Amino acid sequence: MDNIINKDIIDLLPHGEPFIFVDKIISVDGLNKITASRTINKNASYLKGHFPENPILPGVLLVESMAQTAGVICSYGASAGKKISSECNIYFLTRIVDIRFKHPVFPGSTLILKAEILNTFNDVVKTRVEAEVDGKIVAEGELVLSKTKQKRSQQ
Amino acid sequence: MGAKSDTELYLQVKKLIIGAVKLKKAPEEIGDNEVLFGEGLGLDSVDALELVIAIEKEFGLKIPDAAVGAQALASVQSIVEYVKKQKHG
Repeated sequence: MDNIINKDIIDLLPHGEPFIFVDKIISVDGLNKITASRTINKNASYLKGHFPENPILPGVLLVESMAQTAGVICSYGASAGKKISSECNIYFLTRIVDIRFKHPVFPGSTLILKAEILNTFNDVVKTRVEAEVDGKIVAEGELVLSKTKQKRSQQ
Repeated sequence: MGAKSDTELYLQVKKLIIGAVKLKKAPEEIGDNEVLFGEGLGLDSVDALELVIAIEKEFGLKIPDAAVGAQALASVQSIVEYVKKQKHG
């Protein structure tokens, strides 16, 4: 099994900078559960406008962090724990199901991002996702991702 | 528990589809042989996953793979036939 815990996150996602919204993988449980983290940079440009004088992490970017975390475990599960950086197995977000934002996330916070595969059918994967800050759930819900035929770019 | 009549089973499946994919239709607006995916009712691959989850939960059976699923989920009638076959062999 390929150890993805210490891998550079950029090798695990099809995304590139400046659109990487996960910092590192903390743990993987089997082929269907993952915990990752992301620290919100106080100087991120989007915080200047969201909102002036009252910066909080935009909910859509919180969803993106959860979706990227789910994407890693989908690719990892689909490749049965082998290398996931070289071949296809790219997952796109295809449905956002009932995501709830429970608390605002402030600059400097570290998000603990959890994703678990609930069901898979025909390259479509339903995941349960959660984001926590200091042990408190700040957002949760379900995301559906679908495998695409597209290949990862060879870097 | 006695076996459900076909009419009851068809209605149950139509209600299940409506609930699973949040369709804005009444059961009587869905034809027994209407194609569920693409043209027809217009369901997509994500709906297929939701439908599989709902059918497996409601009827306590398994739709093992995409090949079986493609056949079983073609229409209300094919779902009813699949459920009857799985339940009664």
